[in-house]
Amino acid sequence: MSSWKIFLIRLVTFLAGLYFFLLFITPEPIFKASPWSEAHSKISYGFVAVGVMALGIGLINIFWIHGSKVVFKRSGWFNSLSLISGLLVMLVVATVDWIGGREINNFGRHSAMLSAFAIDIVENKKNQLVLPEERLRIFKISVSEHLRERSLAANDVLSKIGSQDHFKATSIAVDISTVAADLASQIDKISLADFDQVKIFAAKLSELSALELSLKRIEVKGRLPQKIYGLLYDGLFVALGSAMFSLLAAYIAAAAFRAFRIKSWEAALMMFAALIVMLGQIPFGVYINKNLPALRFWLMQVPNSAAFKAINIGALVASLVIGFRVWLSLESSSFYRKKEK
Amino acid sequence: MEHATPVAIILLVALLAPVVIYIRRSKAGKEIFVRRIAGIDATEEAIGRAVEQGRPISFAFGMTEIGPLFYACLGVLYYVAKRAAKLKNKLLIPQRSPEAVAIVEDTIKEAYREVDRSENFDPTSVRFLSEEQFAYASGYMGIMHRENVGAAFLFGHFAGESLIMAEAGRQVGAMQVGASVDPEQTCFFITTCDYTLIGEEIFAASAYLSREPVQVGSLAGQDRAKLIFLVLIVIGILIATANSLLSLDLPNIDALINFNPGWFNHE
Repeated sequence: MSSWKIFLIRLVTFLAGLYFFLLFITPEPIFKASPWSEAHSKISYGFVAVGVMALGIGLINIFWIHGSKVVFKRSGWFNSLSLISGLLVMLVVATVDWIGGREINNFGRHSAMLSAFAIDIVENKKNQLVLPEERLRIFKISVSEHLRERSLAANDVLSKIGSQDHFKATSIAVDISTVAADLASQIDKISLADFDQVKIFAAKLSELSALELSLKRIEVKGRLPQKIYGLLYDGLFVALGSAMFSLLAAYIAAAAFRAFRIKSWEAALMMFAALIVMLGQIPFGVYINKNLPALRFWLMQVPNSAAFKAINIGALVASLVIGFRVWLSLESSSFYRKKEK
Repeated sequence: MEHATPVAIILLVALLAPVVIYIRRSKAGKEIFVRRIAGIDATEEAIGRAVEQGRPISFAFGMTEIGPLFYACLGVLYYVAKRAAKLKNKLLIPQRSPEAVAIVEDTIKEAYREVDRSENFDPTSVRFLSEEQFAYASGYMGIMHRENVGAAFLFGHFAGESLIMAEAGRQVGAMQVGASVDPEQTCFFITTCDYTLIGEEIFAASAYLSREPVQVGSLAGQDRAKLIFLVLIVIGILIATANSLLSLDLPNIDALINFNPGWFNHE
């Protein structure tokens, strides 16, 4: 690696470490009172960006390794082909599902925004450029227009829902029409003189938003890409993960068999302790000896917990020291060599 | 975001001071003793056995994200990669964290260059499998069986997949060295792997293998830094005992560390 690259890596590492070190030692009141506090939340978005870029590296790696296997028909190319196909299908289906999710949110967003607007009118009366009365007038016009087309929109969504979910969807659509009619009848009555009335109106708008979301969700989930996504993710991916996890049961039995072979004094001690813990754990243990659960509790809470804490303290100190070494780029051996070839 | 209390800052300085002192001593050429750790000694044996059998070597980081533990494991990987390069053996690194892929690739490349074997470096040796825990474990199992791995190193942070991965190595008869800072998973490695590094031994491994002055010095320094914790534990025991036996109400260690003068107060 060229020397300027090494210098750049060390500089960025040092500056990033310095930033977090200063953040750590700055007292909280000073941090919160400074403009740094606001800038920090924006800087934090950088980590999200790095995470997204890293995912790209992972994808490139998969396409590079398995793509070359398929192209040159190396051994196991068929497995690689199925992997890439699965990845692409999942990518497409998950994107369509994501778009569907956005559609659901958009459908109920307007009602939710109007609800938030109503709350804002009564809670932020002083800090606005526009007078509260004028804001309320704009609010009433917006709500009236919104409610006028809600029932039509609900019926439009309802017409797209298949027979399987039609009964449930119809009941939600009726609820939407009822709430919309109720709101339409009250819109002219609300005034700034009665805050509670405005807040109740806002709560009903939220209810309308929730109903709209439910109805749209039923419609979107009934679409073919969403059904495929459900089948692939919930029906296949989650099920395969569970199958892998269930393998543990068999492996734990095999590992326990190996662990409990008494080959030395330490192994005998462990076997004895494990026997107490296991018998103390099950209801039958009390019939053998009534002190077994208490003994199990002591073994877990005292010797076991002490050993765990000792391991954790050692690991934490070592982590701190490695963090310090990396921050100051103290070690050169592991990551880049001084010697150039 | 956590902000330090004054006592925490003092503690931080106290923990890092011996590290700096011992790194300087080590750099000055002073001999620092590092005790033998069987699991780390076995690294050489595992690599040698895989080479003799003509089988590849695998190095897995488990669920490790980029952080101190990852860098500790990277030091061991660097050594393993150098040995694999020198002995012209295939090295496989199944990866779970996409962020780590580029770093791992670069480290191996440097290791190959270090022993003048750059031409043998295989860019497909670092394989991103999946971020999902069990998808990663099943991918690892597949690699172990397909490639008939001869030596497997399981270094880093592991969770429920530890036993699945270690059993896969056992099924193909690979010599395995496991190392984890998770006490719950260490017992699975002890039952399944040939050698196991427990807890902080994983952080000592790189220093032990490389004998690099900075690493050896910081290893000695961190051992001295732990004495601070020992002193705090003893003080804590004395306070708790005094409070219990003499019915006193002395503040415990936790209160001492979280002590805040007014301008340091958390809101």
